[in-house]
Amino acid sequence: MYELGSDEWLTAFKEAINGSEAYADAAKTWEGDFYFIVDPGGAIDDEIIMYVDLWHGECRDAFRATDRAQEDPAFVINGPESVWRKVIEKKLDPIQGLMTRQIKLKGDMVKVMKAVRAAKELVECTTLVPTKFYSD
Amino acid sequence: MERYIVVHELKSGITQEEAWQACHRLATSSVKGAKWLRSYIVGDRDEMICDWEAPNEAAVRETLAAAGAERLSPVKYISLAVYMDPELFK
Repeated sequence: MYELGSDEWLTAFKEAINGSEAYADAAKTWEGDFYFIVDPGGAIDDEIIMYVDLWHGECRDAFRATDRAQEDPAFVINGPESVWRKVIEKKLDPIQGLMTRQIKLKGDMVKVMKAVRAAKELVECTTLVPTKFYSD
Repeated sequence: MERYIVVHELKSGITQEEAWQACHRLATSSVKGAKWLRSYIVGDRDEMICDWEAPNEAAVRETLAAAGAERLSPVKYISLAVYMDPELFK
């Protein structure tokens, strides 16, 4: 089990993405990197910043950033661990989560909305990573 | 009341806040009895398809305009539709 947002978790996530033919097909035109941020709260003292660079169906890089200034991604998505957990456990569609502001987005909303299939396949990839949540 | 299908173009460059505010206004207000029922985002066609109940097409258009939704997501077309449900066939 890897702690959500740890370097080990992100390495496994990157491998899952790059091993997914479904993601490669769904995201073949996608260009844009992300910060996926878990907000502080509960057992999480400081925000967990995951940098994930997604390009044409491939994950080019994924690591835990030390602070928001480390990279300058096109998209920043943040939310509490409870909401990320719902997404990873497929109890909340990520696009629906964004539309209803359960997770916050900085960046072009519509570009993400159009990537319905890529978002679903990305969530599928997270389910392949054995995840330990801070709330467990 | 009639049912209408509204097909919107998904236009880039919109923030989450703008999208939420427009959806919130649509969900909480109506003009001449027009009511937004549900929507589907069809990403690979760059479209959003919405189901409305309204007395006429003008009421749908006026509600969209009042919410600022047409500016954010232009309407491609509005069609009068007939609602069907699997329950009707059991």
